[in-house]
Order: sequence, then C-alpha cells, then structure tokens
Amino acid sequence: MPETEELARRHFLRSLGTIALGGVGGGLVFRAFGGPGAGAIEGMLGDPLPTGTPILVLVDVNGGNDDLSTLVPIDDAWYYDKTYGHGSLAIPPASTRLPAGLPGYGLHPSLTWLAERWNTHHDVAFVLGVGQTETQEFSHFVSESTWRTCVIGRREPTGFLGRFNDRVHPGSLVAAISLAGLHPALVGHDIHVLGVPRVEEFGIQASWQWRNDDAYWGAYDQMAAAALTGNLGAASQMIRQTLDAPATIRPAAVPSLDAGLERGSLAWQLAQAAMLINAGVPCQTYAGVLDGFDTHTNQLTAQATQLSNVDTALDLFFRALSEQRRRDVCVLLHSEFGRQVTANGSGGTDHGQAGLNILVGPPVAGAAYGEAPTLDPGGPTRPNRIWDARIPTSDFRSVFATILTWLGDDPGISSEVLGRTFEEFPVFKGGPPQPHPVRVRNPSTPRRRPAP
Amino acid sequence: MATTAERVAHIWRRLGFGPTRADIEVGVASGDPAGLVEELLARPPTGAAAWAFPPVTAEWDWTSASRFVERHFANMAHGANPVQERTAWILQGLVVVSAEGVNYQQMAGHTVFLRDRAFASYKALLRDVSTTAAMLEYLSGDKNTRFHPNENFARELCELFSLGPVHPVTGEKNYTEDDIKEMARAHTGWRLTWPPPRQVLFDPWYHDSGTKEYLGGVHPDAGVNDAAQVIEAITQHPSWAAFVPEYFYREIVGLDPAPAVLAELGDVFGPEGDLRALVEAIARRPELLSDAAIGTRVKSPVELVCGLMRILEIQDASWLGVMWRMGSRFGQHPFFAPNVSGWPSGTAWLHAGHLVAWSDLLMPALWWRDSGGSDVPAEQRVQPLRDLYAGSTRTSVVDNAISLAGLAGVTPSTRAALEAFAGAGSWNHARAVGVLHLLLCSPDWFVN
Repeated sequence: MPETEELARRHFLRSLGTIALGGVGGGLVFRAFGGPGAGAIEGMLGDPLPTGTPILVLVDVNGGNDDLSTLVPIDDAWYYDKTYGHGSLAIPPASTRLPAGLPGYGLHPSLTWLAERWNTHHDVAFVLGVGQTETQEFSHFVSESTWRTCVIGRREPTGFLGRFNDRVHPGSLVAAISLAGLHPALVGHDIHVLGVPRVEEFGIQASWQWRNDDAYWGAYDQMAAAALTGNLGAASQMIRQTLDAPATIRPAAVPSLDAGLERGSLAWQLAQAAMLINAGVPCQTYAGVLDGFDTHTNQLTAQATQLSNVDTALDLFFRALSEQRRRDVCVLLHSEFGRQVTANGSGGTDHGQAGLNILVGPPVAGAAYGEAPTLDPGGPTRPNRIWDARIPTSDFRSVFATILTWLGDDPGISSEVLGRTFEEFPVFKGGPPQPHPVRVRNPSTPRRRPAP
Repeated sequence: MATTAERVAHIWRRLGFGPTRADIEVGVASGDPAGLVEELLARPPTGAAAWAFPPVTAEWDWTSASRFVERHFANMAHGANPVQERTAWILQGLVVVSAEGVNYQQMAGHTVFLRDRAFASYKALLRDVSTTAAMLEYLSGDKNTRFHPNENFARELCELFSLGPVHPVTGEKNYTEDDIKEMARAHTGWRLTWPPPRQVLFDPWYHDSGTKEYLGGVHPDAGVNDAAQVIEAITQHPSWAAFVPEYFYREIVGLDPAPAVLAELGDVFGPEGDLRALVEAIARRPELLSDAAIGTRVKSPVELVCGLMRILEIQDASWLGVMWRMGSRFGQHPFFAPNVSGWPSGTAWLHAGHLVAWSDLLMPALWWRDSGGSDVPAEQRVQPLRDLYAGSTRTSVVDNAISLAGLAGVTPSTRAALEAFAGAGSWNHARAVGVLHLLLCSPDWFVN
C-alpha cells in the first residue's frame, strides 16, 4: 500500500471513532462500532489471532487472598479451630457451595457461578498449596515483584509474560494488553504493554478542528517515529502505540458489554478483554487487577464482597465471549500469597505463604491439583507452619510454566522464560490423567488440642 | 551539556511542579542555577492560612471533598514555597493513607498532617502518624489488641515507611518476622471512639504490657509510650539513615545515589530524620544539575496536571475534573493510593491508556473553556492561550509554545513535527493552541 494511502487510511480509522460536539464546553460522544464477534478488522496490526490459539487472562487478585476461605476445607477441624485456625472467621460448611467430586471442600458462598461452572463444565482447576518455595516473603510488594517477574533476589525490569511475548510476538504493539494501568507481569524487553482502560474510548483525543487534519496527525507520526532513547524513547513508543493501536482496538468496541458496569471494576476490565478477544486482536496475554484482598480486618464482609466481584466478572466475561473464541480462553486467578491460619482477632487474618491458584476456561481439565499443606500446626510451637502460615507445596512457577507451555505450544518456552525447568501440572486438556482427589501433605490428624 | 535555561527549568521541575515562562526568564537572567536552588530553599514555609483548604463536611461528602482536592492541586501548582509542596507530595507517596480504607475527612486530615510536617522531623512524623485516626484505621491499628496482635501497621512501618526490606547497600534483611510480631505487640492498645467523628484514645486494657524484643533490643513496656519506643528503635537501625534519604534522592534527582552520597545524606538526615536538611542537601548535590539527571525523569499524572495548571495559570482545578479523572482515568488520585506502597513511578506511566487519559484532560484545558473568540465571557478566558496566538506568527509559535510550556528546549524531532503543523493550513487561534496541544503530548513534555 502506498505510504500516502496508508496514512489516509489510518487517519480515516482514527477519525471514524469520534464525533465531537463542537463548541465551548462540548463533550465527546463516540460512535458505536461493529457488534459481537464482528469480522476481521480492517487495518489491524498484525493478522487476527487464529482461532485455536491459547489466550490467557491473568487476574491479579491483589492483597493476598485468603485461600482457606475461598476453597474451604470443610472437613478439617483445624480450619475451624479457635486457637490455631480461623475460629469465628471460618466459613461454616453448610453455607459453602459444594463442588461435586471434591470431597472435603466447599467454595465460598460468594462463588456461585464458579461452583456451578465446576459442576457443569468441568473446566475449573484448583492448584493447592501454591507459593514461593525458595523464599519466605511476607511483604506484599516483594512477593508481588517476585511472582510478576519470576526472578528472586534482584531487580528485574521484565515480567514473565513480557518475556514470553518477547520470544513469541517480538515487536508487536498489541501482544500484551493491560486492562488496568500497566501490569508489571506483561513488561518485556521488546514488548511495550498496551494499556486499554476502555476499548470504546481508546485513542488520542483531538479537538474537532484537527480531528481529520493530516498535518495534525502527521505531527504525531513524526514524534512517534523519533529516534530517541531511554525514557524519551519509551514516551515516543507510547505515542506510536496510541496512534496505531486504535485502528485495531476501537473497532472491537461493543458498548453493550460494559454498559452499566462500574468503570475500572474487574467486570469492566474483563468486558474490555472480551471485546478484544472476540475481535481477534492478536494478543495472547491480558492482565487485569482486583485489589481489596488484604483482609487484616473485616474479612468476612470484605472477602465476600471481592469474591462476589470476581464471580460476577467471570460470569459476565465468559458470557461475553463469542462461541468461536471462548474455547481458547483460560483465566488465571493469582494472589501474592495466602493468609495465616489463625485469625488475628481483629476480624481478619495476616499475611501468609501458601495460597491457591484458580484456572477456569474450556481448555482447562477440571480438577484439583497439587497438595494441600497441612493445617495441623504440629504443636504449640507450630512446627508445621512458617510462623503461622502454611508451607507451600508447589512453587508458583510450576503453574506459570504450565501456562507458558500451553500458551506457546512449545515445551521449551517455559524454561526459556523462567530460566529453568519446573514440574508442570496436567491442567490443560490433552495431558495425562488428572490427579484426583486432592492429596494432602502431612494429613491432619483427627482434631486434638496440642499439649500446652 | 545542558544550557542555563534547561538547568533552570529542571530545578523548577525537581524542586517544585515545573516552571512558568517567567520562572525560566528570571532564572536565565540571573545566570546562576545554583543561586536559584538557594532562592527556592530560602523561601519561608507556608501554613494553613495560605493553604486555605475548605473543610470536608462529612465523612463521605463527595462535593466538599472535591473542593478540598481541587484546592490541593492549586496549592501544589501555585504554592509560594514549591520545595515544601514537593516535599509534602513526596511524603504523600511515602507515608500512605488511602480512601480505599478511610473516609474523605480522614484523608483530608492526613493530607494536612503531612503538609504540616514537610520540613520537620521524620522521626516525629512517624511517631505521630503511628496514632492518628487515619493511620490507625487504614492499617488496622485500632484492631490491634493484646489478645490478638495485628501486624499490618508494624510491617508497613518497617518495610515502606522507614527501613525497607533490605539494606540498600549491604542487601542484609532489615528485620525478621519475629521483629514484626513484637512491634505489633508494642502498638497494641490504641482505639478509635464510636460514633464518628472518631477520636483516638489509648486503652491500657487492650495494651500488651509485657516486655518486647525487636530489632536486636529488649524493650520493657512503656505503656502509652510503647509506640514511640518502636520509632526510637527504628531510628537506631542501620537502614534508618539510608531508606528515606535514598527515597527522596530518587524522587528529586531521579537517579540512584552512590553509596558515598547516600552515607553523606544519612548523616544529614540524622537520628531525628531532619527532612528539611535532607531536601536541602539533595538539592545542593552536583548530580541534580548533571546532564545525567536532566531530561530523563518520567512525570507522574499529578506532576503533569500541576505543571499544566502552572503554565496556563489555572487556579481552579474543578474544570479539569481532577476529582473524578485522577483516579478512574490516570490511577493517581491524591486520596486514592491503590495500596500502602503508594503509586507507580517511572516508565510504568508510559502506556497508551496514559496518553489517552492525558489527551482527554487537555480537551477542557485547551479547547472547551475558551475557543479564543470575542464572545467568550472574561471569566472563562484562558489568557496564556490567547497570548500565545496574539504574540506569535506561524514561524514563532513553536518557540513561544515551548517557552509557554516551561520547556527550555525540545528534541529535534518534536520541533520538526510542531513546525510542520504550524506551517500548514490557515493561521488562527486553533492552530496556535494545536501546536501547544501537540507539544503537551510530546515525549519532551512527559519526560524531563
């Protein structure tokens, strides 16, 4: 395509998206595009993602979700223990939602959709006892940095998904889409994360006088093409992305999918992801965030609210996905750590170690994986715990390695990205038979009070 | 080698929220960037009367909270002591309380609390903040009892407010989990009254009166003074003299301090944590005016908005919609830090969503309020925009826009882009403002 024609096409696509209400104080309105599952987008950056290509939607459940009250060990007396367990914060067995075929466990009452999904679709995986096995880190921020970079003990600018995209989608402007701010797990050496807070509004805003002016957009093009280095270069790259990506992003907008949702909520974030996935945007890695799981106090209410937000968001997300694309999508719910076993007495729990990963989506072979760390403290000095936290039984990188192998359809990719090999779980369909039921390391003895 | 104008502009950005055209002209005329540093450091501190914060009338009153936040932006942009404004804002990202956990009244109180102490003792600040209603509620201090110690505040006090997880030079772990648990015991007993307004009280019934062992020392119970005793022990820790000085150095200079520099700054900071002396020492470091520091730092959203308010002489931030835009669009609302570690920094801001949000904020600032016509009411006029057009030709507008934006210069690619646009089509108010709009979306504006 001749350069001038290409420029004109880009300007057309940019201007297509916005109609100004002229005059002082006028607002902007946006024209609705396309519809669910609209066909290939003209001018898309790169070829549409072929159907059958795995897509990961990482949901960063931020703050340290209390996994014990998410997938509740309803038969374990230690969880209910007033001295060494959750005591009054424990979720009573009767109020949990029972996942069929997973004896001894009940899901938090807020997870209505997830329980139903487990029972009807058999594509929900729980990986138990996940945590950081090489370090014992109780800090949110160190722990977050470790799992997002998968690098321990030194500063690392790239995230594990960024390094994946460096290898699989080098140079792409849309391979890593962050749905809230800029998610560090997506940052690569060559990949610039595309922040898409809202598909429908995505693009540089311009005054009506210049919206269709070639010289105006030409100036942006020049700044985006500048040979700058360091942070200036990163800013120039930001302009390039924001200039070029709307032609790919905006036509994916389906206003009905985020209508009525709270801006920035997890449901909102996943609605944006659904639009982009349905449109075939060539991106395998999306990341969203939900804060609010650091439940030092008020845990019963706070966790119920946030898990309900997760449940609703997942429900809306999978319903929003087109039939064609839904089968390629896996959502991973990951938190920086679980929480301590003993309630802290102020209505909450403090930072723990071992936690829970949840994977859901048609590619997932529904089952529980891994080993549940014992809840038995082992005595008054709690030798079975790190202070009061359960000891992880699986390194979090085993889960990530599993996902990377699936995403890249390449058995070597995970060790390239993570720097070494990790045992992988047969979480994705097509693998060996699933481990079932849950194995428990150091199984709890029948309830007894430790000797004083 | 940076020019005098570039150094002057740089000083205003790092010690304040950016220069106006007049600031650069005055600084260049004096020919003495180091003198400008001294002039800014010598400005008398401002206080509550000058800040003129309107009250937040109820715990969750959005309207009065909006007026407070708008005033906060006006103070940061136009305050008579830019260094104090800058220091207070750095503190707001360091000693974090967020409306994710407390109400708007408490956020307003915390904002003023930090501003009051911007030039004071950091040790005293930490001692006081340990028992403010806002911090007690935000980090669960009011739920921390001898029956069930809650580690939340103790952990963040060490990790985020005072020491960091490891020593920045030696890499040694600064504290253990046992230290955290023991310090949590020392902080027990602080409660908040109910119903609102919530008052702080120390209730010995809830306080753990045993001896505590933390940070290598055995600390007999000091009752109501136990919290202060924790701060005392923290100030004796080797990382006390490193963590906050390094944090401020990075914020102001934008580089990592060399170990020898950090040691010097630690001495200046001292056991009392003299914030004013620390900021002065950093401002006088030769690295601040080095080429490595100039033109390299990514502005945060708050810095972008305050800089814009300065150059366009915007006093009333309400028409920029800061109360609703800064959180939902930018992710940096002064009342809504996402978590206790504050906000991201550096290239974390340079993503497409950021430029989308910024170009959207420029619409009311540059276009909606004042079209440049004679029919626009006087109170709506944005005079610097009118002056830009009236005082420029299409050949001079780029230089005039650069100077209006408080930039001492721009990269050749940005200049060429602006000149091409300025030279195209008809010459009018919209083109002049268009040049400025493009400049405010250039790499040179985001990074400097």
